[in-house]
Amino acid sequence: MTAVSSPSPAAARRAATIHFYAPGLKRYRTSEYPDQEAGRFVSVSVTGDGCALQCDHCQSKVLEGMLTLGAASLYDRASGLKERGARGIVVSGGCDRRGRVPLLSHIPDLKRIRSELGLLVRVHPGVPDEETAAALGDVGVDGAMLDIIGAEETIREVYHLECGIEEYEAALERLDRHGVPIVPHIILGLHYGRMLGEWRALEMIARHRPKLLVLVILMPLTGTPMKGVTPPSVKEIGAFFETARRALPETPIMLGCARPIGPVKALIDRRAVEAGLDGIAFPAEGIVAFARARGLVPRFHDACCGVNW
Amino acid sequence: MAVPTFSVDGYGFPEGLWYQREEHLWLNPSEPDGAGRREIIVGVDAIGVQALGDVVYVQLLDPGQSVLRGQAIGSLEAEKMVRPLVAPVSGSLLEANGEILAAPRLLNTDPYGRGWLVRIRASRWDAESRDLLRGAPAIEEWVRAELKAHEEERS
Repeated sequence: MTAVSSPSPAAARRAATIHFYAPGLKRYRTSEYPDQEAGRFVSVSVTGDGCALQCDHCQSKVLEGMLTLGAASLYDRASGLKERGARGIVVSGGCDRRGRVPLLSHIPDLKRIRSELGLLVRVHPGVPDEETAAALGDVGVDGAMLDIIGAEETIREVYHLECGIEEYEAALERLDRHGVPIVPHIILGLHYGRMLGEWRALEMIARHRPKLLVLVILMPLTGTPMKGVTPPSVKEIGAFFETARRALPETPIMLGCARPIGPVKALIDRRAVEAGLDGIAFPAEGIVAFARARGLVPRFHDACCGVNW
Repeated sequence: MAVPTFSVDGYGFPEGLWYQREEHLWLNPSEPDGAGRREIIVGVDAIGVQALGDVVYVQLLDPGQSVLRGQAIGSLEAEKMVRPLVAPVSGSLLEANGEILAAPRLLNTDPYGRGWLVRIRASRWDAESRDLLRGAPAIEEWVRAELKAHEEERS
């Protein structure tokens, strides 16, 4: 007979709170979250809108909303942002042909950003190699955020990468070994709206002590081959939320920035609350009240998921 | 007949409208009726539309409700921005534009025409309209200041 374990004290404390996030990637103001300061947590792309992969769901569109470096160094850019009130940054960018965001040349700047400016740093490393993982470990980043894909067809057809799912698991292992807090993301419906490798991705993540897990939903962006694709149904999404919650009972799980907008967004957000997820980025109007009605205490953060200042 | 429109750095502002600065709304008041009341059609101005980007979802309160200036009466959602629609004047909500609820992109393609949002019967127009802008010189000065502030923010 399997013993039923009680939630840990930390998990029980978490269960009484729900976190709402609004990083600067999107200007966001609702009647329940009226005071976002978009400059507090800012995304910077080290490649501008350049990306060698041109994945079918994105085609660099996500990078277009980020600040670019221009002629400035990453440190100078971060320093200017801090002067204007930033407390943290996401250092992101497009990938090279092997799926790596070129962060290595910015490591000295990242170290100064941490030590001299004291900014909290999250990075999008893509699929980091050994050298990048080790360097990020030296920097002391708050987290490395990376999409974990659990289906080879999706890696090949959507990301246009020539590697297997084992490369994603190896990336998790490298980051973990070098002491880089892992913030894996799973994109539900990434295979042209179909759920395919999501469960496998969850299994992989569960083996590597993530700092938190972020679930996002395919958002069919205009100007990409996925425009017009139908994301998974709310029922499928809700079922996956529950599966993830069961698989990682001690790990904070957040509903991240990307998901379909419009009336369906509120339905997805409600399912996230019902499934016991720990936080939601850019919550739909009415969700804070919905969470309160279920006895949860809301906390608000102008930052990425899991940054609870 | 085309409404005369003046342009500031490529952003069009039809003459004869009133503009609410903080929320980038335009207001088109009717002539007062026998009781001195005006109906106000409200939409988003060119800079507000530009800031939103492609609008994909519009939520509006159901008509028939009393609204206070500053109260959220709807929500506008685009890929890179979510913002409330804030009542620019107090009164009663007479109509929400059903066409824009079905086709939110009208806000981008025809912001001063079919992309209007709500019609409000104003209860305090004389007092509340004092905080609105009207006339090309005042609007041009405001728009240039807004664009400069935006540039500084992006740099």
